[in-house]
Amino acid sequence: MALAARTMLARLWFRDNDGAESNCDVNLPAATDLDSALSFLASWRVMVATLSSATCFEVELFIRYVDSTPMTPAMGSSVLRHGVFIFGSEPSDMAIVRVPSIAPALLESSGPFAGIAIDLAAADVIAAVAALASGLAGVEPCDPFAIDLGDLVTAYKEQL
Amino acid sequence: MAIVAKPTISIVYSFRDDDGKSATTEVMIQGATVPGNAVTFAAALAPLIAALSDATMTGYNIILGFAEATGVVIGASDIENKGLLLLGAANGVKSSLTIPSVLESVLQPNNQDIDQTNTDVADLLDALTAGLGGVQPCNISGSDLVLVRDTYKQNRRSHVSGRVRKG
Repeated sequence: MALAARTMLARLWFRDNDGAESNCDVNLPAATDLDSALSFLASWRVMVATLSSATCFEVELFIRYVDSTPMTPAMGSSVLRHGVFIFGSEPSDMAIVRVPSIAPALLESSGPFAGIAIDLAAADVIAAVAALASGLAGVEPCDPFAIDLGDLVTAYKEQL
Repeated sequence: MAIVAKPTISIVYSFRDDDGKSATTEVMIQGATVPGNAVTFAAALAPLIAALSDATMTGYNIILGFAEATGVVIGASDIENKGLLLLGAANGVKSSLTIPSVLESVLQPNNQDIDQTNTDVADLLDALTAGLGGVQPCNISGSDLVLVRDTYKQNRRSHVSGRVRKG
């Protein structure tokens, strides 16, 4: 896996008086520093909005990375087989992280939940769960309401 | 209008399996995170997430979002009326950009061509081809946008997507 930066995308979202939405996209060089890109986005929004009778209600900056090497997914891999990781102890704070095509080697191999439960003692699982639950590089993941994920409650395979 | 950072920053990792099907997983972090720290975090988390999957991680996006903090009254407008800007990049590839619900007041008397001498239009075209605040827009392959080929209004039908009409 060799992930390389590609062009950033500055996206403006507009809404008209019927509630219909549309976007205006422009690419920025991958090497643009983030402060400059955000400054561009703020100025760009004003310039484009000046030419539109709809309202610009949201702006987004996509910082994009792509695999620059040929891809060879493993035989038998399937994005319909998810690993479901549920975090948070309080029902109102629970959050889910889904990993497509959970590796079968990470599922429990014996016991009543063999092939279903994710092996929480597997090194790769421990590392990923620690990063999600406790943060990484000083940044802590959260749920859509900006509440930190908290501890892992359970993890299992889900076949869609 | 007051635009504020969204409560969370989304990091979306993309995967592809051996049937060619794609899927994503999304991890959110606090919206107040310094963008550079978000980039560092996303890069550090990528191999940890990839190690859980036997599909291939094909890339990821870090999405910094900003939204109107308050409701706004929207005047008569129609996002199907696009201002279409046809552009050219330094590598010779054609590119385009659309402005939803382009103002009638920036059109020429034929009600179709966009008046490139209009100050606001000229400023925008200059920003696209000469840069804005030191940032030079480009096409998706990273080649600078360098020329304006044509500008006119075009009506493009929108469609219902979920509960919202988009186009």
